[in-house]
Amino acid sequence: MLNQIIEPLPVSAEEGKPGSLELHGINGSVGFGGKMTGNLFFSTSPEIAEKMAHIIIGGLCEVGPKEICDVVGEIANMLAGGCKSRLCDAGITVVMTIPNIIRGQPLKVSAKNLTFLVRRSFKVPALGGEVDVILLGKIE
Amino acid sequence: MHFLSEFTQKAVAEVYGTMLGLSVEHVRTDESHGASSTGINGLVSNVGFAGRISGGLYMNHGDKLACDITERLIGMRPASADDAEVADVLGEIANMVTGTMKKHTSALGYNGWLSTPLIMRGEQISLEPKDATVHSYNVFRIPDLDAEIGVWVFAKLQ
Repeated sequence: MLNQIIEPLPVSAEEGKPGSLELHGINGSVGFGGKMTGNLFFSTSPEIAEKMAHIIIGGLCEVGPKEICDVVGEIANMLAGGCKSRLCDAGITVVMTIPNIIRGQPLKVSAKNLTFLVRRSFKVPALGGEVDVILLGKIE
Repeated sequence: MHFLSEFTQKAVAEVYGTMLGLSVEHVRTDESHGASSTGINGLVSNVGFAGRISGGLYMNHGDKLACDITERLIGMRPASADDAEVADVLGEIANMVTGTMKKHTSALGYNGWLSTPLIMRGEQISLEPKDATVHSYNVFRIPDLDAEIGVWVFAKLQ
């Protein structure tokens, strides 16, 4: 989708410790219901999100808050769809919510009764920044 | 008024009444897209729903109100709105309000599963739903606590 090289960063200290986490300034969020309940976040800075929107939209139209929101939401939706497919292959059927974009600086998220939290950070050298993908929830 | 606004109003009144013994007054509803979903401060609790109705419910409580409600429910005042007990209480309230709203939508054939409650804290939070066809923002007043709650529901019906 973005045609960018990404470099996985070392596993975050938050990994495996459900409770609370800090997010970047702009976040695409998709919820899961079914045999696994939880959320997936695609989290990055507003500056990186804007660069991504420029790459995806190209010169087709001006990039404003709505286009940035659309791109962040679509990336979160695609990542959640990939998770859903793999979970389904493992016998864990889930349904996804529509994506929502949450902005805030700083933004701290906490949740109760979660059994796992997976956070993967990636460096995107061409964009000069990082993106995080976070999956948290519990499996019934 | 969209039925989701009506169901949200019923659900908030029911949960606050039965769980906290508090009466809530509906102040106003705004169903325009983007209705007051920027510049939110304090605590935002969220529960998503997926299925024939897909989206999320978000509730905004100020720090003092969050502590007042927690004290009312657990009988002990938290030291601050950052305490884990406050997040637990707000998550449970959002879960019950969403569950009650879903009970009403299920009666119309819009079934769905709920995600786990999340609590967000930050400054100048904004909520921007993608693909939601229904935007509902409801403001409620709790006279006994002299405070207001904002509740957003973003949804797509299939």
